[in-house]
Amino acid sequence: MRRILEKYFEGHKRSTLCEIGAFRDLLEYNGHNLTIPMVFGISGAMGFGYSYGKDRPIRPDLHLPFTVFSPFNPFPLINATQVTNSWRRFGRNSDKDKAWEDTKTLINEGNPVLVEVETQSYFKKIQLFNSSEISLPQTGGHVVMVYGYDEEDQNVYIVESLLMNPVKINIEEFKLIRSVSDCIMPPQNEWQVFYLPSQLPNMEEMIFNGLSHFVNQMLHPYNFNSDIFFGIDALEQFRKDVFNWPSIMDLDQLKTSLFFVQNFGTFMYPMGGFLRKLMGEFLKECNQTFKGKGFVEIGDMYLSLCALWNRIISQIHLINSDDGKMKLNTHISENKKILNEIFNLEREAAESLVILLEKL
Amino acid sequence: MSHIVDNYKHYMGSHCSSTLISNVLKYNGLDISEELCFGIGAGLGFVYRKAFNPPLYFVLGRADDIEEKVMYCLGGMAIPYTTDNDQTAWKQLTSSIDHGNPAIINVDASCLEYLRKKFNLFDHVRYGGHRVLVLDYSNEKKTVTVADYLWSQYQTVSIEHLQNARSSQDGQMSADNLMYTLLLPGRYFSIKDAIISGIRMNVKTMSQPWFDLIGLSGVGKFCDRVLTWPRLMKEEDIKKNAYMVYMMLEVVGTGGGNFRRLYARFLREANEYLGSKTIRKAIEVYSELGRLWKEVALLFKISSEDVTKGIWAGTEKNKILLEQIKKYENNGIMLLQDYLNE
Repeated sequence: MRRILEKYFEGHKRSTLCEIGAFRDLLEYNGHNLTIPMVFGISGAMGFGYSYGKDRPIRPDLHLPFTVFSPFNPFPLINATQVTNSWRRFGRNSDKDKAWEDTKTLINEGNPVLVEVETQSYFKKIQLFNSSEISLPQTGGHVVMVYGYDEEDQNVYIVESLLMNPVKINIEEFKLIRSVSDCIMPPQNEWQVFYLPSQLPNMEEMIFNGLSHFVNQMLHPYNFNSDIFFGIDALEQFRKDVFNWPSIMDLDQLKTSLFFVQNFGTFMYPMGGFLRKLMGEFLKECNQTFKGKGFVEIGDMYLSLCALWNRIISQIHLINSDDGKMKLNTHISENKKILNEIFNLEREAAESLVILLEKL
Repeated sequence: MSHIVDNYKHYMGSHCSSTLISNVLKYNGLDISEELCFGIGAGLGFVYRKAFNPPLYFVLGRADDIEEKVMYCLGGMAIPYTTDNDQTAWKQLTSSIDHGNPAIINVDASCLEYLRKKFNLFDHVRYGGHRVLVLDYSNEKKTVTVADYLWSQYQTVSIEHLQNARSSQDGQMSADNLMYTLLLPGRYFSIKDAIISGIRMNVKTMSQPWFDLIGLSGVGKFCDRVLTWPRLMKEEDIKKNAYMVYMMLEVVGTGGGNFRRLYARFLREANEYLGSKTIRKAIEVYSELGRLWKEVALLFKISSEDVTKGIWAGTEKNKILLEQIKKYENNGIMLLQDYLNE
């Protein structure tokens, strides 16, 4: 049996954010041509999260037993579904063979399937990151779009958002890569399928909704527990903590936490300033819809934030101190100054968006 | 963990999802009625589809994922999680209770005795999309305390029965151990803004659905095709389908009148914020739709006993009734769209 949804791949564009890129490709597959910054923005995907990983996680698979932050809203596809008036089916299965059969059924019905994978084995398999360049921990959290399979040549056809060309992986190997259940953020055969309408809500409406959700979660962050912070609260906590990380965690935890900083800052989105560049691009694109309303100016604020975050990212790495212990770097006072500047500008930009939204 | 039970106040309602999300939001300090939750959650809908084995039609007048939409329109998020690992599901649930958060979960209604007693529908079908709210558990007694929309008293069920109901894979909609975790925003969007978002979302889901057997096109197909059912099935199956449709339109969690009465009540409450003449007209349309759907439901009930009577009696009146429903359903959405354009 062979079924390949060729049309899906034809519309593919590279993206550094896997979920956003996959959703953009799906929109294209369904006849809706939106850019990656636009999908990022309307999904209210920008944000900031920070967690110590000690208390209960939001979802069982999101238990991260170390200090970690995220430069974006960790559930952008829930918002993307709502803002585009789509419907999402999803699930998780402990039986890798059953999971594969379900995936085939969905593809046979004409649906590309978004599947989570374990990154260490997956990136090694597709030779994306050279293991000598980056030491990847075993972790899930990365999604790929399965758009076909061929049982004769035993291959799964995948669109990897970071690559321009499609990827083929042996079916049995793919089953193992997606079924890992004992790593950080285990994929556990998680899958999602999206059903999109033939007509999207109008652009003004989607932009307004995306921005409203973003500024609300930044300035009036979600409350979950005393261990997980969002928005401006998360930034505040990150600003207070980051230079003390070596003293509040052991070396393994510290290395893993730093991996996530570098993951978002360097590997996945180099020079992207923790996604603030994408936000700046989104706001400038909004100017085509809402001309002369101040989007460009606020977009520039996010591009300034991008530059500031890039400076911080380049500074946050381990060095040996004189007493033989690890510390972050020797320019802490200067970096604190930059972080304060970031904090103030993040707040100012979000507040400017509130004022702008009130005028629309 | 009796603190949840002590602090939670249970209000009965018309539909499981909207009742429970309203009660959970109240528990968390936002005083919002079931009706507002139903409308803000873009709950108005229609699904008409057929399964072939067993040959049962699924006819339902509401949309999916009300919890996610309510939270979205209010500026928060409802995060769903499903798993086939019962231990993970149980741990997630008890952890939520231990932290003082009542948990909205899916259950297969046919697996819980108090639901089977109330609705004999579940002798025929499995339905894993029923929501209950878990408030408490006892490892010693091996029981769980749940709140359900139609019961004023909490229900005590065994952990084993609840696990079976949660993990059920049978029927057209499996329960999949689904549980929602709510991310409450530090500040909600205003109720008025949330109402407008909900109406806008509902106009879209009804008029531009992702599939042509749902929304207004689903209503049209149902009204056009339902009179042909006797030609497509054995008498026994027709009776079973007729009974199911009656229950799904009128009895099981619809508030009567295929959710249209509930939606009319939402609009009435919403109009206290909106003050619109157009919405006032829409209230009349949805009230009338509630009456019309009830009439249809009762015809199905008659047909479930004798297929030559009721909806399939072959009368012109029945055809007119179904045509009226189509017309009113379209008018309702047009009025809501007019309001949004004002």
